[in-house]
Amino acid sequence: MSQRVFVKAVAVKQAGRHYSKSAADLAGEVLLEAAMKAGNVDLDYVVVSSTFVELSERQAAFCSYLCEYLSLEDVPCLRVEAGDAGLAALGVAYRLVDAGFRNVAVVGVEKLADFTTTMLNKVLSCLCNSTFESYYGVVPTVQAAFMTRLYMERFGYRYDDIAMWSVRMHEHAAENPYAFMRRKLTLQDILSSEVVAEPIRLFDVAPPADGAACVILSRDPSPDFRIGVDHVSQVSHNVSLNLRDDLTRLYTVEKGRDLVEHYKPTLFEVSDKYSILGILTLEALGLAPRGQAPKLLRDGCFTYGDKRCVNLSGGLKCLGYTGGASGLYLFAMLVLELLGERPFDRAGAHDVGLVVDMGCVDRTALMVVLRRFS
Amino acid sequence: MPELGVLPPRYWRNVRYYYRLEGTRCKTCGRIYYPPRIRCVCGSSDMENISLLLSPKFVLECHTTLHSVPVEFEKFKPLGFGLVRAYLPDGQSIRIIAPLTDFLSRDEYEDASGRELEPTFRVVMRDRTYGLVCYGTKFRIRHSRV
Repeated sequence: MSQRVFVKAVAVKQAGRHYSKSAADLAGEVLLEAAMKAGNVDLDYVVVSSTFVELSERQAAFCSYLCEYLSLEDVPCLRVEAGDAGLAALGVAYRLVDAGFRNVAVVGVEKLADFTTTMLNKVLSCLCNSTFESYYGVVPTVQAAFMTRLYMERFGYRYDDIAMWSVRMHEHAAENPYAFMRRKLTLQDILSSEVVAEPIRLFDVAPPADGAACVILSRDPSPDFRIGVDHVSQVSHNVSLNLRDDLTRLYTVEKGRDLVEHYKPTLFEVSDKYSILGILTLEALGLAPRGQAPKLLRDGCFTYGDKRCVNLSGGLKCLGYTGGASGLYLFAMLVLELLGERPFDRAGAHDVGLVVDMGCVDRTALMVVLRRFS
Repeated sequence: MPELGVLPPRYWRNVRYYYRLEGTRCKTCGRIYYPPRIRCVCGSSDMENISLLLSPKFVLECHTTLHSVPVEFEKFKPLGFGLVRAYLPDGQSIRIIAPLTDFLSRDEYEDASGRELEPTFRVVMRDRTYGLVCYGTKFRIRHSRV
Protein backbone atom coordinates (compact mmCIF):
# COMPACT_ATOMS: atom_id res chain seq x y z
CA MET A 1 0.00 0.00 0.00
CA SER A 2 1.93 3.00 -1.27
CA GLN A 3 -0.73 5.66 -0.84
CA ARG A 4 -0.43 8.38 1.74
CA VAL A 5 -3.91 9.80 1.35
CA PHE A 6 -7.06 7.77 1.89
CA VAL A 7 -10.79 8.24 1.50
CA LYS A 8 -12.27 8.14 4.97
CA ALA A 9 -15.89 8.72 3.98
CA VAL A 10 -18.16 10.06 1.26
CA ALA A 11 -21.69 11.44 1.49
CA VAL A 12 -23.95 12.56 -1.31
CA LYS A 13 -27.24 14.41 -1.34
CA GLN A 14 -29.31 13.45 -4.35
CA ALA A 15 -29.36 16.50 -6.59
CA GLY A 16 -32.73 18.07 -7.24
CA ARG A 17 -34.91 21.01 -6.41
CA HIS A 18 -34.30 21.53 -2.71
CA TYR A 19 -36.21 24.79 -2.37
CA SER A 20 -36.58 24.46 1.40
CA LYS A 21 -32.84 24.14 2.00
CA SER A 22 -30.10 26.75 1.79
CA ALA A 23 -26.58 26.06 0.56
CA ALA A 24 -25.47 25.84 4.18
CA ASP A 25 -28.25 23.33 4.93
CA LEU A 26 -27.23 21.08 2.04
CA ALA A 27 -23.50 21.36 2.70
CA GLY A 28 -23.98 20.87 6.42
CA GLU A 29 -26.11 17.80 5.88
CA VAL A 30 -23.52 15.96 3.78
CA LEU A 31 -20.61 17.11 5.89
CA LEU A 32 -22.18 15.81 9.08
CA GLU A 33 -23.14 12.56 7.38
CA ALA A 34 -19.59 12.06 6.09
CA ALA A 35 -18.09 12.93 9.47
CA MET A 36 -20.36 10.40 11.13
CA LYS A 37 -19.39 7.71 8.61
CA ALA A 38 -15.77 8.52 9.33
CA GLY A 39 -16.31 7.85 13.02
CA ASN A 40 -16.91 11.45 14.09
CA VAL A 41 -13.28 12.31 13.53
CA ASP A 42 -11.97 15.75 14.40
CA LEU A 43 -11.64 17.76 11.21
CA ASP A 44 -8.38 19.64 10.73
CA TYR A 45 -9.52 21.59 7.69
CA VAL A 46 -12.67 22.21 5.67
CA VAL A 47 -12.28 22.96 1.97
CA VAL A 48 -15.41 24.19 0.20
CA SER A 49 -16.10 24.05 -3.51
CA SER A 50 -18.87 26.21 -4.91
CA THR A 51 -18.76 28.13 -8.15
CA PHE A 52 -21.80 30.33 -7.83
CA VAL A 53 -22.45 30.69 -4.10
CA GLU A 54 -21.92 34.47 -4.18
CA LEU A 55 -24.64 34.73 -6.80
CA SER A 56 -27.12 32.25 -5.35
CA GLU A 57 -26.74 33.05 -1.64
CA ARG A 58 -25.30 36.59 -1.87
CA GLN A 59 -22.63 35.35 0.50
CA ALA A 60 -18.88 35.85 0.53
CA ALA A 61 -16.76 33.89 3.03
CA PHE A 62 -19.30 31.12 2.70
CA CYS A 63 -16.88 28.55 4.13
CA SER A 64 -16.59 30.45 7.39
CA TYR A 65 -20.35 30.86 7.84
CA LEU A 66 -20.83 27.21 6.99
CA CYS A 67 -18.36 26.17 9.69
CA GLU A 68 -20.10 28.43 12.20
CA TYR A 69 -23.42 26.81 11.27
CA LEU A 70 -21.86 23.45 12.10
CA SER A 71 -20.17 24.72 15.27
CA LEU A 72 -16.75 24.02 13.80
CA GLU A 73 -15.68 27.23 15.42
CA ASP A 74 -11.92 26.85 15.29
CA VAL A 75 -11.51 24.73 12.18
CA PRO A 76 -9.60 26.53 9.43
CA CYS A 77 -11.52 26.69 6.18
CA LEU A 78 -11.28 28.05 2.68
CA ARG A 79 -13.16 27.95 -0.59
CA VAL A 80 -11.54 26.88 -3.84
CA GLU A 81 -12.87 27.94 -7.22
CA ALA A 82 -11.56 26.92 -10.63
CA GLY A 83 -14.57 27.48 -12.83
CA ASP A 84 -16.95 24.63 -12.12
CA ALA A 85 -14.20 22.08 -11.51
CA GLY A 86 -15.04 21.00 -7.99
CA LEU A 87 -12.16 18.58 -7.81
CA ALA A 88 -9.83 21.57 -7.59
CA ALA A 89 -10.93 21.72 -3.96
CA LEU A 90 -10.19 18.04 -3.58
CA GLY A 91 -6.73 18.68 -5.03
CA VAL A 92 -6.10 21.25 -2.30
CA ALA A 93 -7.37 18.85 0.35
CA TYR A 94 -5.11 16.12 -1.02
CA ARG A 95 -2.08 18.41 -0.66
CA LEU A 96 -3.13 19.37 2.86
CA VAL A 97 -3.33 15.74 3.95
CA ASP A 98 -0.09 14.96 2.18
CA ALA A 99 1.47 17.88 4.05
CA GLY A 100 0.46 16.51 7.43
CA PHE A 101 -3.15 17.43 8.22
CA ARG A 102 -4.86 14.26 9.43
CA ASN A 103 -8.51 14.66 8.40
CA VAL A 104 -9.65 17.14 5.79
CA ALA A 105 -13.24 17.51 4.62
CA VAL A 106 -14.02 18.64 1.08
CA VAL A 107 -17.58 19.75 0.58
CA GLY A 108 -19.10 20.80 -2.71
CA VAL A 109 -22.41 22.64 -2.77
CA GLU A 110 -24.50 24.55 -5.27
CA LYS A 111 -27.98 26.08 -5.36
CA LEU A 112 -28.93 26.37 -9.01
CA ALA A 113 -32.62 25.41 -8.86
CA ASP A 114 -33.39 28.67 -7.05
CA PHE A 115 -32.82 30.58 -10.29
CA THR A 116 -35.37 30.92 -13.05
CA THR A 117 -34.17 29.58 -16.40
CA THR A 118 -33.12 32.92 -17.82
CA MET A 119 -31.45 33.98 -14.58
CA LEU A 120 -29.64 30.66 -14.51
CA ASN A 121 -28.41 31.26 -18.06
CA LYS A 122 -27.04 34.59 -16.88
CA VAL A 123 -25.27 32.85 -14.00
CA LEU A 124 -23.81 30.14 -16.24
CA SER A 125 -22.63 32.76 -18.74
CA CYS A 126 -20.16 33.85 -16.04
CA LEU A 127 -18.12 30.81 -17.04
CA CYS A 128 -17.47 32.46 -20.41
CA ASN A 129 -15.32 35.55 -20.98
CA SER A 130 -17.42 38.36 -19.53
CA THR A 131 -16.23 41.08 -21.95
CA PHE A 132 -15.91 39.16 -25.19
CA GLU A 133 -18.50 36.40 -24.89
CA SER A 134 -21.13 36.74 -22.18
CA TYR A 135 -21.60 40.45 -22.97
CA TYR A 136 -23.28 39.26 -26.18
CA GLY A 137 -25.22 36.47 -24.47
CA VAL A 138 -22.81 33.59 -25.05
CA VAL A 139 -23.23 30.73 -22.56
CA PRO A 140 -21.21 27.51 -22.37
CA THR A 141 -23.96 25.80 -24.37
CA VAL A 142 -22.99 27.92 -27.38
CA GLN A 143 -19.39 26.72 -27.12
CA ALA A 144 -20.55 23.13 -26.83
CA ALA A 145 -22.83 23.65 -29.85
CA PHE A 146 -19.88 24.76 -31.98
CA MET A 147 -17.89 21.72 -30.86
CA THR A 148 -20.80 19.38 -31.59
CA ARG A 149 -21.43 20.80 -35.05
CA LEU A 150 -17.76 20.75 -36.02
CA TYR A 151 -17.35 17.21 -34.69
CA MET A 152 -20.35 16.00 -36.68
CA GLU A 153 -19.11 17.70 -39.84
CA ARG A 154 -15.56 16.47 -39.48
CA PHE A 155 -16.33 12.82 -38.77
CA GLY A 156 -19.53 12.52 -40.76
CA TYR A 157 -21.93 11.84 -37.90
CA ARG A 158 -25.60 12.69 -37.65
CA TYR A 159 -27.20 14.01 -34.50
CA ASP A 160 -28.55 10.51 -33.69
CA ASP A 161 -24.98 9.35 -33.14
CA ILE A 162 -24.21 12.13 -30.66
CA ALA A 163 -27.46 11.39 -28.83
CA MET A 164 -26.19 7.88 -28.05
CA TRP A 165 -24.23 9.36 -25.17
CA SER A 166 -27.41 10.56 -23.54
CA VAL A 167 -29.20 7.25 -24.17
CA ARG A 168 -26.34 5.39 -22.47
CA MET A 169 -26.22 7.73 -19.49
CA HIS A 170 -29.93 7.33 -18.87
CA GLU A 171 -29.57 3.54 -19.11
CA HIS A 172 -26.89 3.64 -16.43
CA ALA A 173 -28.77 6.05 -14.18
CA ALA A 174 -32.01 4.07 -14.14
CA GLU A 175 -30.79 2.00 -11.21
CA ASN A 176 -28.65 4.60 -9.47
CA PRO A 177 -30.44 5.84 -6.34
CA TYR A 178 -28.26 8.97 -6.29
CA ALA A 179 -29.23 10.08 -9.81
CA PHE A 180 -31.41 13.13 -10.33
CA MET A 181 -32.72 11.80 -13.67
CA ARG A 182 -33.50 8.10 -13.39
CA ARG A 183 -35.80 7.61 -16.36
CA LYS A 184 -34.58 5.50 -19.26
CA LEU A 185 -34.78 7.39 -22.53
CA THR A 186 -35.11 6.15 -26.07
CA LEU A 187 -33.35 7.76 -28.98
CA GLN A 188 -36.74 9.03 -30.10
CA ASP A 189 -37.27 10.80 -26.74
CA ILE A 190 -34.02 12.68 -27.28
CA LEU A 191 -34.67 13.46 -30.92
CA SER A 192 -38.04 14.95 -30.05
CA SER A 193 -36.76 17.09 -27.16
CA GLU A 194 -36.48 20.83 -27.63
CA VAL A 195 -33.49 22.41 -29.30
CA VAL A 196 -31.38 24.50 -26.92
CA ALA A 197 -28.68 25.61 -29.34
CA GLU A 198 -28.49 23.81 -32.70
CA PRO A 199 -27.58 20.99 -32.80
CA ILE A 200 -27.72 20.58 -29.01
CA ARG A 201 -31.01 19.43 -27.55
CA LEU A 202 -32.34 19.47 -24.03
CA PHE A 203 -31.14 15.96 -23.23
CA ASP A 204 -27.58 16.79 -24.26
CA VAL A 205 -27.32 19.18 -21.35
CA ALA A 206 -26.72 18.08 -17.75
CA PRO A 207 -29.74 19.42 -15.85
CA PRO A 208 -28.81 22.19 -13.39
CA ALA A 209 -29.84 21.34 -9.85
CA ASP A 210 -29.27 21.94 -6.16
CA GLY A 211 -26.89 19.51 -4.56
CA ALA A 212 -24.06 18.81 -2.18
CA ALA A 213 -21.44 16.12 -1.79
CA CYS A 214 -18.71 15.61 0.78
CA VAL A 215 -15.48 13.62 0.86
CA ILE A 216 -13.24 13.24 3.90
CA LEU A 217 -9.62 12.57 3.08
CA SER A 218 -7.34 11.24 5.75
CA ARG A 219 -3.85 10.00 6.45
CA ASP A 220 -5.40 6.94 8.06
CA PRO A 221 -6.91 4.20 5.91
CA SER A 222 -10.51 3.41 6.71
CA PRO A 223 -11.73 -0.18 7.20
CA ASP A 224 -15.07 0.81 5.64
CA PHE A 225 -13.80 2.84 2.69
CA ARG A 226 -10.84 0.82 1.47
CA ILE A 227 -9.93 3.42 -1.11
CA GLY A 228 -6.69 5.30 -1.49
CA VAL A 229 -5.93 8.32 -3.65
CA ASP A 230 -3.06 7.41 -5.96
CA HIS A 231 -2.81 10.61 -7.92
CA VAL A 232 -4.33 14.07 -8.27
CA SER A 233 -3.38 16.45 -11.05
CA GLN A 234 -4.71 19.54 -12.76
CA VAL A 235 -4.18 20.45 -16.39
CA SER A 236 -5.18 23.85 -17.75
CA HIS A 237 -5.38 25.27 -21.24
CA ASN A 238 -6.03 28.97 -20.76
CA VAL A 239 -6.88 29.71 -24.38
CA SER A 240 -10.24 30.92 -25.70
CA LEU A 241 -12.04 28.43 -27.93
CA ASN A 242 -11.90 30.78 -30.92
CA LEU A 243 -8.10 30.78 -30.80
CA ARG A 244 -7.81 27.00 -30.86
CA ASP A 245 -6.87 25.17 -34.03
CA ASP A 246 -9.15 22.23 -33.38
CA LEU A 247 -12.46 22.43 -31.54
CA THR A 248 -12.97 18.68 -31.72
CA ARG A 249 -10.24 18.02 -29.16
CA LEU A 250 -10.11 18.45 -25.41
CA TYR A 251 -6.66 19.90 -24.85
CA THR A 252 -6.78 19.52 -21.07
CA VAL A 253 -8.13 15.98 -20.85
CA GLU A 254 -5.63 14.69 -23.41
CA LYS A 255 -2.96 14.89 -20.74
CA GLY A 256 -4.90 12.20 -18.87
CA ARG A 257 -3.85 9.66 -21.48
CA ASP A 258 -0.57 9.20 -19.63
CA LEU A 259 -2.50 8.43 -16.45
CA VAL A 260 -4.56 5.81 -18.26
CA GLU A 261 -1.42 4.12 -19.58
CA HIS A 262 0.37 4.29 -16.23
CA TYR A 263 -2.37 3.39 -13.75
CA LYS A 264 -4.52 1.31 -16.11
CA PRO A 265 -7.91 2.29 -14.61
CA THR A 266 -10.91 0.22 -15.63
CA LEU A 267 -13.64 2.43 -14.15
CA PHE A 268 -14.15 6.01 -15.26
CA GLU A 269 -16.36 8.84 -14.10
CA VAL A 270 -16.05 11.78 -16.46
CA SER A 271 -17.62 15.20 -16.66
CA ASP A 272 -20.32 15.30 -19.33
CA LYS A 273 -21.97 18.67 -18.89
CA TYR A 274 -22.78 18.30 -22.59
CA SER A 275 -22.91 15.07 -24.59
CA ILE A 276 -20.07 16.23 -26.82
CA LEU A 277 -17.76 16.65 -23.82
CA GLY A 278 -18.37 13.06 -22.76
CA ILE A 279 -17.68 11.82 -26.27
CA LEU A 280 -14.54 13.92 -26.67
CA THR A 281 -13.30 12.80 -23.25
CA LEU A 282 -13.43 9.16 -24.37
CA GLU A 283 -11.23 10.09 -27.31
CA ALA A 284 -8.95 12.40 -25.33
CA LEU A 285 -8.20 9.66 -22.81
CA GLY A 286 -7.45 7.20 -25.60
CA LEU A 287 -10.41 4.96 -24.73
CA ALA A 288 -11.67 5.46 -28.27
CA PRO A 289 -9.73 6.37 -31.44
CA ARG A 290 -10.34 9.88 -32.82
CA GLY A 291 -13.77 10.14 -34.36
CA GLN A 292 -14.83 6.67 -33.20
CA ALA A 293 -16.45 7.27 -29.79
CA PRO A 294 -20.08 7.51 -31.02
CA LYS A 295 -19.60 4.37 -33.09
CA LEU A 296 -18.21 2.45 -30.09
CA LEU A 297 -21.08 3.68 -27.93
CA ARG A 298 -23.53 2.41 -30.51
CA ASP A 299 -21.67 -0.91 -30.53
CA GLY A 300 -22.25 -1.29 -26.79
CA CYS A 301 -18.81 -0.39 -25.40
CA PHE A 302 -18.07 1.37 -22.08
CA THR A 303 -20.90 -0.23 -20.16
CA TYR A 304 -21.47 -3.19 -17.85
CA GLY A 305 -19.60 -6.20 -19.20
CA ASP A 306 -16.96 -4.18 -21.01
CA LYS A 307 -13.41 -4.19 -19.67
CA ARG A 308 -13.58 -0.40 -19.29
CA CYS A 309 -16.78 1.08 -17.91
CA VAL A 310 -17.54 4.79 -18.20
CA ASN A 311 -20.05 6.72 -16.08
CA LEU A 312 -21.94 3.80 -14.57
CA SER A 313 -23.55 6.45 -12.38
CA GLY A 314 -25.18 8.10 -15.39
CA GLY A 315 -22.67 10.95 -15.34
CA LEU A 316 -23.57 14.56 -14.75
CA LYS A 317 -26.16 14.06 -17.46
CA CYS A 318 -28.24 12.16 -14.90
CA LEU A 319 -26.67 13.01 -11.55
CA GLY A 320 -27.44 16.64 -12.33
CA TYR A 321 -25.16 19.61 -12.91
CA THR A 322 -24.30 21.08 -9.54
CA GLY A 323 -21.53 23.51 -10.52
CA GLY A 324 -18.66 23.30 -8.07
CA ALA A 325 -20.11 20.18 -6.46
CA SER A 326 -20.27 18.18 -9.71
CA GLY A 327 -16.74 16.81 -9.50
CA LEU A 328 -17.32 15.59 -5.97
CA TYR A 329 -20.42 13.73 -7.12
CA LEU A 330 -18.34 11.96 -9.75
CA PHE A 331 -15.66 11.22 -7.16
CA ALA A 332 -18.19 9.80 -4.69
CA MET A 333 -19.80 7.66 -7.39
CA LEU A 334 -16.43 6.19 -8.34
CA VAL A 335 -15.75 5.32 -4.71
CA LEU A 336 -19.07 3.47 -4.51
CA GLU A 337 -18.33 1.69 -7.79
CA LEU A 338 -14.89 0.56 -6.60
CA LEU A 339 -16.43 -0.66 -3.36
CA GLY A 340 -18.96 -2.63 -5.42
CA GLU A 341 -21.99 -1.11 -3.74
CA ARG A 342 -25.39 -1.71 -5.26
CA PRO A 343 -26.25 -1.22 -8.09
CA PHE A 344 -22.63 -1.00 -9.24
CA ASP A 345 -21.82 -4.52 -8.02
CA ARG A 346 -22.97 -5.69 -11.46
CA ALA A 347 -19.75 -4.31 -12.88
CA GLY A 348 -17.70 -6.92 -10.99
CA ALA A 349 -14.45 -6.24 -9.17
CA HIS A 350 -12.41 -3.25 -10.29
CA ASP A 351 -9.32 -1.98 -8.50
CA VAL A 352 -8.46 1.30 -10.15
CA GLY A 353 -10.63 4.15 -11.34
CA LEU A 354 -10.15 7.60 -12.83
CA VAL A 355 -12.30 10.69 -12.25
CA VAL A 356 -12.10 13.51 -14.79
CA ASP A 357 -13.68 16.82 -13.84
CA MET A 358 -13.71 19.85 -16.12
CA GLY A 359 -13.79 23.57 -15.43
CA CYS A 360 -15.69 25.69 -17.99
CA VAL A 361 -15.45 24.19 -21.48
CA ASP A 362 -11.99 22.62 -21.57
CA ARG A 363 -10.20 25.40 -19.70
CA THR A 364 -9.08 23.17 -16.86
CA ALA A 365 -9.32 19.49 -15.99
CA LEU A 366 -8.83 17.75 -12.68
CA MET A 367 -7.91 14.10 -12.75
CA VAL A 368 -7.92 11.79 -9.75
CA VAL A 369 -6.85 8.15 -9.67
CA LEU A 370 -8.44 6.02 -6.96
CA ARG A 371 -7.34 2.54 -5.95
CA ARG A 372 -9.15 -0.06 -3.91
CA PHE A 373 -6.99 -1.89 -1.40
CA SER A 374 -7.71 -5.02 0.58
CA MET B 1 -32.47 53.98 -6.69
CA PRO B 2 -32.57 51.62 -9.69
CA GLU B 3 -30.29 48.61 -9.54
CA LEU B 4 -27.86 48.67 -12.45
CA GLY B 5 -26.80 45.41 -14.04
CA VAL B 6 -24.27 47.08 -16.33
CA LEU B 7 -21.87 49.38 -14.52
CA PRO B 8 -21.24 52.51 -16.64
CA PRO B 9 -17.45 52.71 -16.03
CA ARG B 10 -17.06 49.10 -17.04
CA TYR B 11 -19.09 49.63 -20.18
CA TRP B 12 -17.16 52.79 -21.00
CA ARG B 13 -13.73 51.18 -20.71
CA ASN B 14 -14.82 48.21 -22.82
CA VAL B 15 -16.37 50.26 -25.61
CA ARG B 16 -13.28 49.82 -27.79
CA TYR B 17 -13.84 46.07 -27.72
CA TYR B 18 -17.56 46.31 -28.34
CA TYR B 19 -17.45 48.98 -31.05
CA ARG B 20 -14.11 48.40 -32.77
CA LEU B 21 -13.35 44.75 -31.95
CA GLU B 22 -9.94 45.66 -30.62
CA GLY B 23 -7.42 42.91 -30.26
CA THR B 24 -3.67 43.02 -29.89
CA ARG B 25 -0.70 42.19 -32.06
CA CYS B 26 2.75 41.27 -30.79
CA LYS B 27 5.27 43.64 -32.34
CA THR B 28 8.00 41.03 -31.91
CA CYS B 29 6.53 37.91 -33.51
CA GLY B 30 3.35 39.23 -35.15
CA ARG B 31 0.87 36.96 -33.36
CA ILE B 32 -2.59 38.45 -33.00
CA TYR B 33 -4.98 37.94 -30.12
CA TYR B 34 -8.69 38.37 -29.58
CA PRO B 35 -9.41 38.57 -26.65
CA PRO B 36 -6.38 40.86 -26.37
CA ARG B 37 -3.38 40.07 -24.22
CA ILE B 38 -0.70 42.26 -22.67
CA ARG B 39 1.97 39.59 -23.06
CA CYS B 40 2.59 37.28 -26.01
CA VAL B 41 3.38 33.55 -25.80
CA CYS B 42 6.76 34.45 -27.31
CA GLY B 43 7.52 36.31 -24.07
CA SER B 44 7.33 39.84 -25.45
CA SER B 45 5.23 42.52 -23.79
CA ASP B 46 5.61 44.84 -26.75
CA MET B 47 2.01 44.71 -27.97
CA GLU B 48 -0.05 47.06 -30.12
CA ASN B 49 -3.81 47.42 -30.37
CA ILE B 50 -5.43 46.52 -33.66
CA SER B 51 -9.05 46.87 -34.74
CA LEU B 52 -10.44 43.73 -36.31
CA LEU B 53 -13.20 45.91 -37.68
CA LEU B 54 -10.75 47.09 -40.33
CA SER B 55 -10.50 43.56 -41.72
CA PRO B 56 -11.60 43.56 -45.36
CA LYS B 57 -13.16 40.12 -45.17
CA PHE B 58 -15.12 38.07 -42.63
CA VAL B 59 -16.22 34.49 -43.25
CA LEU B 60 -18.66 32.43 -41.19
CA GLU B 61 -17.13 29.06 -40.30
CA CYS B 62 -19.71 27.64 -37.89
CA HIS B 63 -22.89 28.90 -36.30
CA THR B 64 -25.64 28.13 -33.83
CA THR B 65 -28.84 29.67 -32.52
CA LEU B 66 -29.35 29.90 -28.78
CA HIS B 67 -33.00 29.53 -27.80
CA SER B 68 -32.60 29.60 -24.01
CA VAL B 69 -30.91 32.93 -23.33
CA PRO B 70 -29.65 34.94 -20.33
CA VAL B 71 -32.25 37.14 -18.69
CA GLU B 72 -31.27 40.48 -20.26
CA PHE B 73 -31.53 39.02 -23.77
CA GLU B 74 -35.09 37.72 -23.52
CA LYS B 75 -36.44 40.38 -25.85
CA PHE B 76 -33.82 39.51 -28.45
CA LYS B 77 -34.13 35.74 -28.51
CA PRO B 78 -33.25 33.57 -30.25
CA LEU B 79 -29.64 34.70 -30.42
CA GLY B 80 -27.41 33.74 -33.34
CA PHE B 81 -23.70 33.17 -32.79
CA GLY B 82 -20.95 32.34 -35.21
CA LEU B 83 -17.34 31.36 -35.36
CA VAL B 84 -16.22 34.12 -37.69
CA ARG B 85 -12.82 34.29 -39.35
CA ALA B 86 -11.50 37.82 -39.84
CA TYR B 87 -8.93 38.25 -42.62
CA LEU B 88 -6.70 41.16 -41.69
CA PRO B 89 -5.16 43.59 -44.19
CA ASP B 90 -1.69 42.13 -43.56
CA GLY B 91 -2.79 38.67 -44.70
CA GLN B 92 -3.16 37.09 -41.27
CA SER B 93 -6.48 35.78 -40.04
CA ILE B 94 -8.05 35.17 -36.66
CA ARG B 95 -11.22 33.44 -35.58
CA ILE B 96 -13.65 35.12 -33.18
CA ILE B 97 -16.93 34.18 -31.53
CA ALA B 98 -19.41 36.85 -32.62
CA PRO B 99 -23.15 37.53 -32.52
CA LEU B 100 -25.07 37.17 -35.78
CA THR B 101 -28.08 39.16 -36.91
CA ASP B 102 -30.45 39.77 -39.83
CA PHE B 103 -30.87 36.25 -41.10
CA LEU B 104 -33.76 36.47 -43.53
CA SER B 105 -34.95 32.90 -43.50
CA ARG B 106 -34.26 29.51 -42.03
CA ASP B 107 -32.94 28.29 -45.39
CA GLU B 108 -30.50 31.16 -45.54
CA TYR B 109 -29.44 30.31 -42.00
CA GLU B 110 -28.88 26.64 -42.77
CA ASP B 111 -26.69 27.47 -45.75
CA ALA B 112 -24.78 30.22 -44.00
CA SER B 113 -21.52 28.39 -43.27
CA GLY B 114 -18.80 29.58 -45.60
CA ARG B 115 -20.69 32.78 -46.49
CA GLU B 116 -19.01 36.15 -46.34
CA LEU B 117 -20.22 38.43 -43.52
CA GLU B 118 -20.13 42.12 -42.80
CA PRO B 119 -20.04 43.84 -39.41
CA THR B 120 -22.93 46.00 -38.35
CA PHE B 121 -23.43 48.24 -35.31
CA ARG B 122 -26.40 47.14 -33.22
CA VAL B 123 -28.07 47.24 -29.83
CA VAL B 124 -26.86 44.27 -27.83
CA MET B 125 -29.15 44.64 -24.82
CA ARG B 126 -31.03 47.10 -22.69
CA ASP B 127 -30.14 47.07 -19.01
CA ARG B 128 -33.57 46.95 -17.37
CA THR B 129 -35.69 50.09 -17.30
CA TYR B 130 -33.27 52.75 -16.12
CA GLY B 131 -29.91 51.29 -17.14
CA LEU B 132 -27.74 51.68 -20.19
CA VAL B 133 -28.61 50.73 -23.72
CA CYS B 134 -25.59 48.66 -24.70
CA TYR B 135 -24.28 48.53 -28.25
CA GLY B 136 -21.80 46.36 -30.03
CA THR B 137 -20.71 44.77 -33.28
CA LYS B 138 -22.78 42.01 -34.79
CA PHE B 139 -22.38 40.29 -38.14
CA ARG B 140 -24.80 39.70 -40.98
CA ILE B 141 -24.51 38.05 -44.35
CA ARG B 142 -22.82 40.47 -46.69
CA HIS B 143 -25.23 42.52 -48.84
CA SER B 144 -28.28 41.03 -47.16
CA ARG B 145 -31.16 43.47 -46.76
CA VAL B 146 -33.21 43.87 -43.60
